[in-house]
Amino acid sequence: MLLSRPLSLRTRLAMLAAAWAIVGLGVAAVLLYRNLSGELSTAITDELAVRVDNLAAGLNGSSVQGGSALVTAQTVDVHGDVLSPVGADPLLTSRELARAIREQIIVDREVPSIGQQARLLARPIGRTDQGVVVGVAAASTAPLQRAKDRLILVLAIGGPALIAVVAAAAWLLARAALRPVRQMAAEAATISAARTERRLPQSGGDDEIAELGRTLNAMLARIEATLGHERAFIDDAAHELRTPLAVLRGELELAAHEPGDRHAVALSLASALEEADRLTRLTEDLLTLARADAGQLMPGETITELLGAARQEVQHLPHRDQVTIQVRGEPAVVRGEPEWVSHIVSNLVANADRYAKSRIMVTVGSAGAYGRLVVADDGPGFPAQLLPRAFDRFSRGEDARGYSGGGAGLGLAIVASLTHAAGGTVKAGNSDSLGGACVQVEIPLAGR
Amino acid sequence: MPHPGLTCLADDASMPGPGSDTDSRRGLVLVVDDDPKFAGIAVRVLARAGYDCVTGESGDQAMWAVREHRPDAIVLDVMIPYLSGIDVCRRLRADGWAGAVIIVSARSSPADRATAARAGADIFLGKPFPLSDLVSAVDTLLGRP
Repeated sequence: MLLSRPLSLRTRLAMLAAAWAIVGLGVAAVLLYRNLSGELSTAITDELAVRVDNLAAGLNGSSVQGGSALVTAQTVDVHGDVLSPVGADPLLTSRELARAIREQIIVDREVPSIGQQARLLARPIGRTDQGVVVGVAAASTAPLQRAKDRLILVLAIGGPALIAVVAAAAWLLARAALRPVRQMAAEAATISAARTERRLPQSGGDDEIAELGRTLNAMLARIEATLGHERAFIDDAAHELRTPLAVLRGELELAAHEPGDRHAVALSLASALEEADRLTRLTEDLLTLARADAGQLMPGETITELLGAARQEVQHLPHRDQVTIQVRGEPAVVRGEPEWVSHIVSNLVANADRYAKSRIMVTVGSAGAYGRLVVADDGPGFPAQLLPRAFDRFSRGEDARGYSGGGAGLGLAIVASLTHAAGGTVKAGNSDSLGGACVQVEIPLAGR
Repeated sequence: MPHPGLTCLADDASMPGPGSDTDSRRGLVLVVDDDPKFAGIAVRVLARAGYDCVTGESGDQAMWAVREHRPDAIVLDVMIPYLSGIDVCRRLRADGWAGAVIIVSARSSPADRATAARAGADIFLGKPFPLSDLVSAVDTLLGRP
């Protein structure tokens, strides 16, 4: 039956360690077996060679240097007759003797006087009147074979045990190393959109797991901030929508309960219409911001002449009677839809009109690769605490909260969204020339 | 002397409306909302129910009006300038003011309602609401039938 669940990481690591142990141990066993066999075999051959050297020394009258008692040695003549020890059965066959007369031979075979596993070393060691004398030494190789058999047995038993130990150690090590990951996974499972303040447990130190924890927690912090902004935006949007709805409902209720008072009914209906217009504008503003957030505001290939668009927009823009609006500057053709530029101008001028004492100045020009639009007024200017969040959504000065300020705090946010969509930048500050608020919009010039 | 921005509507409220009882005023209600349209609607419906009304647009006006007019009840928006409706309610309760407080707000989540209750509000009305709910709330808190 196939496994329906993938193996755990620690199990896979243990299996990988076992596989590497099998490969490593296999190679080591082969090398050990070959090396040990070779060494033992060489030792036997060397012993035989020493014994034959001793035979040669004796033949030449030199002193014999001794040799292992386990080695059988004899000297034979070219006819195969054993010269020493006298009467012993010859160790060499006639064919072996024929070769040994010319060169050293080493033969592994059964030797009746030694056993089934034996090694013979023979070589010419001198010459007499009867011809070449061959020295022969023979020894049993059974100890070599027994040593090899024991090594195989040890490897056969110890190898799997060692592999099992390596695999178990790898499993335990992997489990210990992955414990922080399991703790993070358990904590991550409890984090939801409703509990975004929670963070993953972080292991101490500066290893990869700790870095992973820090990275994930940083990501959670960004998600929390994003969700916080979205919730605040939804809360603010709901508030801004409910406020005119409350007035709309109230006016209609009053009109419904005062059918006989035609003047009161007319006033209520007019007020209700105003609130419906306010709701429409608010909905369109929210839709514009939603499209900007979704990346649906694309500048495309359309271009707009900034000065002409500003003049045209200002001509049709309602404003307070005591406020004069002046548009001046040089033409600048920028990228972006004419509707965007109109929206930017109307929002900036409408915002300035709420606070200006008597003057609003709209200045158009170029600055490097950008067309520049500056709207300044002679009002009280941005409060210092509002400046950093002047372009935030639903951001308003303390004295402009709610209806009496006239806006929902979306005008500058829309200006920023449209400008950014066109690849431009916005800045808010207070005007040196007029003394009031000053907003600067820069949009890339067409063809740059 | 009236606080700048505070509107006293006692005279307007005394004007008879359809179905109003002009002979027996039922109490004084302070309506504080920075949306003059909503404040006007609240005043009209409360006046029609027989209450005298004064209005304010901000938190500081609300504090001043309570000391100056000693209303029986306050209809208090939360999002008002300078001092929020919640802060006004909290300060009034801390000062020992025992009048009725009705918080009205377009933010009406359970957390918003709990915050208002902790601040000492008697009733919370989430905008938009039927105007009869506002009259019922004032009637209930002032013990008017």
